[in-house]
Amino acid sequence: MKAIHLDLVIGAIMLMFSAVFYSLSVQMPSDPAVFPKLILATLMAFSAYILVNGISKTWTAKKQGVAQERVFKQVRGPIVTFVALCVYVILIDVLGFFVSSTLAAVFFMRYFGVSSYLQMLLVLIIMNSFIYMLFVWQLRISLPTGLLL
Amino acid sequence: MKIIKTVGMLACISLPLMLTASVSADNYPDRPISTIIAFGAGGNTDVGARILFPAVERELGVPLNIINRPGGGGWVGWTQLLNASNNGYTLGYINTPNLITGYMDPQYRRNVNLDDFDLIANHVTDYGVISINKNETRYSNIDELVAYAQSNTLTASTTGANGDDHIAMLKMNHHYDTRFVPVHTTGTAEQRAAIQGGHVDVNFSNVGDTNMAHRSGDLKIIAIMAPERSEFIPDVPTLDELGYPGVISWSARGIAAPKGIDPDSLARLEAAFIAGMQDPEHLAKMAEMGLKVDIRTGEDYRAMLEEEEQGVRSLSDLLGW
Amino acid sequence: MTIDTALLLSVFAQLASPDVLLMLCVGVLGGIFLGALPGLSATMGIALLIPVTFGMQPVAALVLLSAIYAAAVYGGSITAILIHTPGTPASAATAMDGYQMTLRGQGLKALGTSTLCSVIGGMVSVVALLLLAPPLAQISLRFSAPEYFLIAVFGLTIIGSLSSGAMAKGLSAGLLGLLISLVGVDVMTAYPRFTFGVAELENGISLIPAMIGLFSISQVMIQAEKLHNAKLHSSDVPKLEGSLFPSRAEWRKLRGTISRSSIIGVLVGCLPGAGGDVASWVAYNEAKRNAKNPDDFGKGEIEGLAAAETSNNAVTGGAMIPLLTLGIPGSAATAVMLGGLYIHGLQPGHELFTVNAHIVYAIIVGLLLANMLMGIVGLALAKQVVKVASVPFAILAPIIVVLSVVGSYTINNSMFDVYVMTAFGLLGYLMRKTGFSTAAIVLAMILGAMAELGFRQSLVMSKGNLLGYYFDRPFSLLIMGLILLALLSPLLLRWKRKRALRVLQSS
Repeated sequence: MKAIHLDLVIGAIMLMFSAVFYSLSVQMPSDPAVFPKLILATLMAFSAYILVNGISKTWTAKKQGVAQERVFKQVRGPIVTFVALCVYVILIDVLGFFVSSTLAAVFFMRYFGVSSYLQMLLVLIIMNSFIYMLFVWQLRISLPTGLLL
Repeated sequence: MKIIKTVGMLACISLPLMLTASVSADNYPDRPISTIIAFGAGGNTDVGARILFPAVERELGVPLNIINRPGGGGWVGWTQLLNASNNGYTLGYINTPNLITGYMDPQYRRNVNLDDFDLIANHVTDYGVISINKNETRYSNIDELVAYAQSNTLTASTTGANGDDHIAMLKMNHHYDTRFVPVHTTGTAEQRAAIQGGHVDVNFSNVGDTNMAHRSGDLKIIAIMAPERSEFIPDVPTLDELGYPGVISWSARGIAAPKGIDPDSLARLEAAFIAGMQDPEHLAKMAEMGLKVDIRTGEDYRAMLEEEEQGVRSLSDLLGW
Repeated sequence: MTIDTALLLSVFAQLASPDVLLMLCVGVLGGIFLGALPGLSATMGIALLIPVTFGMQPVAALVLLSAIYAAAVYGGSITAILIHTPGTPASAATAMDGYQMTLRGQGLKALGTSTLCSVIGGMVSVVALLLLAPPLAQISLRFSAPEYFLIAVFGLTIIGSLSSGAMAKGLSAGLLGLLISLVGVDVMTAYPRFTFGVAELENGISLIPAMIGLFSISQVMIQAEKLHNAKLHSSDVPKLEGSLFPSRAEWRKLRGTISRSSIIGVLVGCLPGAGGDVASWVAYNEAKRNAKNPDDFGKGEIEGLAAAETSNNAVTGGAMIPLLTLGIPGSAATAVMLGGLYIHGLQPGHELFTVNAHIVYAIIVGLLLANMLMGIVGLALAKQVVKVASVPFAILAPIIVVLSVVGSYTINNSMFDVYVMTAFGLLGYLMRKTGFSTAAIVLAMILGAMAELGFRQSLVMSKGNLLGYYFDRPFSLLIMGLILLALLSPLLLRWKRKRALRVLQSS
């Protein structure tokens, strides 16, 4: 399994993606469909090229017995970051902007290794008051308040 | 510390809300009212509202907070308005014809109509005009234009498919057998550049965005598609006067609430908006921008929107619905 | 042109009033600040401040608005250079080379160059506004749908070379960007494309949230990889010593780029359909085409940074030319400013330069002063500002994330845009890891809709004879020539190099 070149996977995903969207653009009225079809057809061609390229790279690597270079070596940090971002964004609708931002910032600082509580507190106070003063007071933007209100 | 801060913040924000939740409509309004504007900050609707609101705020005694929700030709904001509570603390600007074409156009499958809104007051009505390049030689008035367009295909710039300019153009084709084909643009800036640079043959637009260019001679308005002449361009005759009845075009915007608002609150809002719109400073600033303040409330406002609905319906074949 | 002494005196008397000077400072500082924050653009800053200016004198109000405009465009480059978080779409091109320079420890020089180039671009454009406004406005009217289509195509020719790896991946990223730009209601037919019944998608996928995701969030995710190697601390951050100014040799190299980019910026600024985001890519493309070492672009080439920064600030004055002379705004920010002019009783057009000459010239000279002040502030603070790059990642990351969220939300007051930002963050990370160019997506999103609309409008305008229509227009011919040059010059260069090599070998 490890021997499959990443380009093969990427090419396959792109090909599927562009095929699905191509089938959607076929259902459009003819006039607005021209550009989407043109772009998607070209994208399919490039996806196929990347796919074929990936296959040939997989073969040569197998023949020479070389292990593929792994692109995604350290995925834990990015995955945790992304999941935390998603949770944060969802929480905004529930807890409101300021509460969830505070929670998210605390989590990120802990996870990325800030150990000093004083530092954390300082960042939180400056960040929240800065956003409050600029966005809410000065620019009069109503940030989400969440379900509690 | 964090918890204390969080709880404190929650308490501060939620306390005033809990207090007001039980209050009846008798002392409406007693807290700020949000007004959704379905177009971006700095656009015509937005600027008009920001000029009007200080006067209305004085009448109501509470602030009117503007929330810009642009997108979908206005429908992002209107969907939010329709989903909002009808407690009188969320209002919105509704703009024709986008609102009407938006729910009538079957390709959007929208299950909305005028009954979903409680209408408060119309604010601005901007009538349509037909203009040509200042150096145009093939035609210089509406008779020559119509005659020329009956035997030649002419390109006409508009501010978007299914907008008021497009509909006016279709009405001309429908009634007078002209052969105008639309060049839709993304806004008045692009549209004005197209006609002033001579890239399109004729321009369908509104008084508000063309009257200054007409007065300074940058382009030539040859007719206004209104029941009477405009005070901003008194030299321009109406299509009706010129012998081309049946083509009236406008875009209008006014204030509405989600259906089911308390009748006393509605009456209070109506009175406040009428008073605010009659404020001399507001009227002077709108006149400087070339925008006609057209106060209509109740049945009068509704009749105006229904007339528009009727007009769009009669063109549904031409729009391809 | 004769200089009217009375007018000159009146202009300076107005500018010397404490109100105006205060607004000038507020505008410059506030603008830099707003521009540097992701999501807060010049357009929004002006829109939100217009009601604040209701009670002011016209000169003070418009000096404030135009100072914000110029300074915000400049401010966007600061965060683009230091933390790969472009504050405005116009500085997406800046991020490519600017951030690479920071990684190499040349952050201070990148900031200095960007400041100087922004000031030069800005000043050139104001001088053009002062002296050449009427003829340039007439030229801008000669541009229409065919030219817009061709400008977009010209900008897009750079896509193939944006990605460092395989060209197929660069082009695919561009195609994906083009596809994204098609989402939403089609301008020509009002048909909703790829919207899946979601009203928020009808206006298309907003550029700014997508860009914040692709650049800033992906950057945080990439940094997070290093987490398990070693704790990230200041040791990991590049040294930030070195000079604030480019060396004399670099200046010599930059001269041509700066003058070309200034002209491009002013011209693109004049066009109602294109603003700073388009200009920066066109100038970048031109700089790359003319460079001796085009392969270094995207790897920290100072010329690329200079091209993007000069041109996007040259747009500011350029965009005010059609605004003030014709009442046709040359960019999104000036469209908002038009409302500001009306509210203060200033009607654009010939009258503005005759009846209200003392006001309009005061505003223009005010913009000149704002550009100078922007340079002074930028250079004075560069040594402090650059320290942002050495703030430990653990502190910087949560701030970037929270600002990205609030910035995306603020554009349309919409949580939907925050979801878009999040999704594009993941996409950006995956793309950067697998050798696709995120800059190509942003570029294609900026130019894609412009290309399609321009082409389809010109199809109607040509009344059936499309080729004849294009070949009949002088500016369209000129841009077609430029496109040909852009496409052929890499081949030409390779051929020349080969021949030189052969000559060398045979001798």
